[in-house]
Amino acid sequence: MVILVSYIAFVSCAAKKGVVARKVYVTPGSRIIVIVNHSNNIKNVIMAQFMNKNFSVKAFNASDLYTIDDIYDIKDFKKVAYMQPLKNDEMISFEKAVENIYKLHIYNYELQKAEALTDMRTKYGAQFLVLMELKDWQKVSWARAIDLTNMEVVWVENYPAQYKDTLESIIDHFIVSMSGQK
Amino acid sequence: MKKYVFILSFGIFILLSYNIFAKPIVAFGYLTNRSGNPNFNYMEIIFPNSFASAFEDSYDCTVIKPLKVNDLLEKKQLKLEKYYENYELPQISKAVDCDLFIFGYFVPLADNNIKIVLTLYESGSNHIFTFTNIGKMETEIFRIIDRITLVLCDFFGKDNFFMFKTINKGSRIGLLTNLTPEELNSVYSVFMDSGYTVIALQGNELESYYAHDETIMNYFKYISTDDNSYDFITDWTRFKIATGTWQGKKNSQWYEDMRKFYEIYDIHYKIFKNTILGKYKTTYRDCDYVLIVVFNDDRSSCWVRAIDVNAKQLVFMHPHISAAGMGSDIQKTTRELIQIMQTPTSLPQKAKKQ
Repeated sequence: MVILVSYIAFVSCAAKKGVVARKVYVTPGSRIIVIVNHSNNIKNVIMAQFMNKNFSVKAFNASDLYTIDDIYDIKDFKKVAYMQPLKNDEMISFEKAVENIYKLHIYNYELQKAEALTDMRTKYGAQFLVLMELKDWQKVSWARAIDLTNMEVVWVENYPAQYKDTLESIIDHFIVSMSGQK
Repeated sequence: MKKYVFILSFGIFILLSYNIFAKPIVAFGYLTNRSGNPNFNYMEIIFPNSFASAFEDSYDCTVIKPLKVNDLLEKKQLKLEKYYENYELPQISKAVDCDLFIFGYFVPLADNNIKIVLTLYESGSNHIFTFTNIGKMETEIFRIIDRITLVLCDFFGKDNFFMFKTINKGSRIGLLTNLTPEELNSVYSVFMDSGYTVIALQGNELESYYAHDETIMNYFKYISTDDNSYDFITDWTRFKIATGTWQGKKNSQWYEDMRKFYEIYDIHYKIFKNTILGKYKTTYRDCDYVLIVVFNDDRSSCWVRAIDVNAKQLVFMHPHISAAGMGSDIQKTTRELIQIMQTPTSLPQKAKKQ
């Protein structure tokens, strides 16, 4: 029983451990786009923290009153277009062709996303894309930065929020980790 | 009475032991000469005989060479053909009563090179594996045989493992996975710390919409590329469409659509995919390899496919990677994957002794 409890505790801790890796620092002054999926008031807090640290934050995910949940759910479009029940057990010969549709779609989907990212660089003049998801204190918040010139992941971090953490302190933690500057 | 029961039990034990420990039977078909030059025809049997001998030297199995395979088939009013459609393979391997049936073709290339393409069918699996090897015809022929033997040993001896080349640190990789964003970060961090450049293929959005769809992710187990493929067998000859003047315009259109559907997504699938991979080179211009890594539920193991974006080729395939020791840790599994990707395989011990 003790072993079982220890094992569960070990696995649980392993799942919530912090992770950080960095290739280059994204320093203040950099032109960034921050994408988060939170309400507008939280989004403002996030943007403010970056702006206060002298990042140039592009209004990509913050140029209207809506959030991603309100208007931009790519999943729904893809379901309409591609997730029809094409598979039919009586037509087993079709299986490969049907699977190939999905595979081609996903290869293409990743390509189209990259083209959208290229627009972030060329139309918004952004250097880095910062993705971020903030969670409650018992869970793991995560963030990631992508260099838009070569699509390289330059920084990742999973941060298990502490009891004393606030929204601002978590964002500050990410900014320090990403920029290497306090 | 007890004596007879003992003898009977012993007999059953011997029979069962024979079946359990019986060596796998590997049958070799012809390696067809596709050069159009009949001067190379003699190689159609020499090559498979060489592969068979080399494989038998390296792997504990019983091989059947092409002429013997033909004899076995003739007893069943069949004969060994130079080419088989994939859907014919289950019937042939059953007739030969083998565990693995191997056949293929070769094409002499410029500068005294030769291209050898082999197809493997494992009886009862409904899966086929095709791979290509190119080398110098005279100076490297033994190396080609060794390389091919190694692929056969890996695939058959390590449960469908395939390594065309190692994927070393410094390589630029993009990942397609079934992971949550924070799990993806954990995997990314291991690759970054191990000296790989990670391209944000899937990780450039908050959450991938298809990552959690197990059915879709499992489709990627099968990869068709021009040179190396792992695929499953479908039999279009079983699919019948009755046509006639009675069918009307609407049905005619439906049949025409079906034909186009099949043409695009099956016959010409590789052309479409190659076009997309070609675009990867311009869009994700620093991406050398696309790694498809699908983890099990508790993230303690994964299966992997790797495509070389430049060559548009399947270069690595592993059915089951799991880290040793206690604890289901996604980072441990990833480290094990990296270790395997970086380590060249070698022929089994049996060959080394010789």
